[in-house]
Amino acid sequence: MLVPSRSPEEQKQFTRGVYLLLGKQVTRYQEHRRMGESSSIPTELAEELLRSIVYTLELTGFGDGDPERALTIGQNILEQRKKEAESMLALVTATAPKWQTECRWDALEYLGAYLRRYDHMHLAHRGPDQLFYPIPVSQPEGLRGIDLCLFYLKILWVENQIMASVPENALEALWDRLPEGTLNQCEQLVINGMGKALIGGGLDPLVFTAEEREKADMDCDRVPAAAEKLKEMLGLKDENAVAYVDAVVPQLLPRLGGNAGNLFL
Amino acid sequence: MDALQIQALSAAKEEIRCCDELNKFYGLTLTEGDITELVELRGQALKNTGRVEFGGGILPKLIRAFCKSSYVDAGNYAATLGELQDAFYYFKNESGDRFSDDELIEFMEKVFNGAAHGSTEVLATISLEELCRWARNGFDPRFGDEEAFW
Repeated sequence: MLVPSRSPEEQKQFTRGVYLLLGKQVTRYQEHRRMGESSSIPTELAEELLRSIVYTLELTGFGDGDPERALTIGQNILEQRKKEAESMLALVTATAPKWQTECRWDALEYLGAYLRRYDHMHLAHRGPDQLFYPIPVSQPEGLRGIDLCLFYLKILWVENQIMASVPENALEALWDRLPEGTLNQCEQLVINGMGKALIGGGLDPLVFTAEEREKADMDCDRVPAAAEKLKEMLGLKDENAVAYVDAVVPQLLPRLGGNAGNLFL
Repeated sequence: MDALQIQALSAAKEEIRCCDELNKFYGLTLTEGDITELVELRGQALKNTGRVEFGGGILPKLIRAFCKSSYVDAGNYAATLGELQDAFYYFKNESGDRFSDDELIEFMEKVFNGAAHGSTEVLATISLEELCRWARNGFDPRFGDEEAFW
């Protein structure tokens, strides 16, 4: 583990401190899990505990040279982030649309279960790695632990805001046309919304007639402008929501100009 | 080997030396050579079982548990401890860490002094299930492996 701006001697001292800290974390973990007293642990567990320590120390910029103190500061930061994620989950759950795809329900449930189990004291680096919910926005590289959970919750919150900007009856008509097995309903909403913006239509109705579909399929040069128009129609100002709509544009471009098929529902 | 490892090894040796009085009481000794070898064997056993240890190791506890056994003597003491150490880490792994060190040592002690008649070879070849069963019920060859024990 390399700590920035430290002399080799300080680096050595810090590594030694982290090793001693790992020993203490092993004992704390065993107590926390009510495991009997044990002088040894499996290598995999030691590696996991070490990853957690490094992740937590990174949050503090490795502190002032005392790993134990830096760990406590990092754990306090993580506790705050966990609380933030819990509030965000409550917000996302309370503002979710009346109808959601099974995949979206599962994602919310999984994130709830993840937060209930999240162990910021010992296994802080573990993120919601089993989450399967496709989103158009790419995940920032190196995102781990509670930060990954927060990232997904923010995306789900953005989706809720987008879906709440469309009249209920227009949404229901769109949901009725979603093919079985659709994973992300909001992405389709944005695609349809952009299509409507392309042909100069509004968001109610959001579904397409055959004529509208043909009209929207003609011109791909106008997609960026249509994206801007859609943001206006949805009243989006939040940068995450704007980024979400922008992320859908590249999906549309290759399919327009005669290849749209059932792109617009 | 870095300074940290050297320090860990020397701490492990020191913890074994702390058992000198107890060993002497039972007429047993561990030479410096024995101690070095046991600490080296510990490293190998940990490596073989995919485990890591942060304190002084399990040897001081094994010494406290087995020094009073009538099956150990000055001639076989160091070798027996080495084999018990191997068996300990093996059982620790097999148990998925469900038993504490003390519980596992208690099982091993009962079997070693009972059914195994001081044979580390027997200890090394039985399964964790057999160890638990033998420790709890004593070994009775009339019962097959189907005997419920958990």
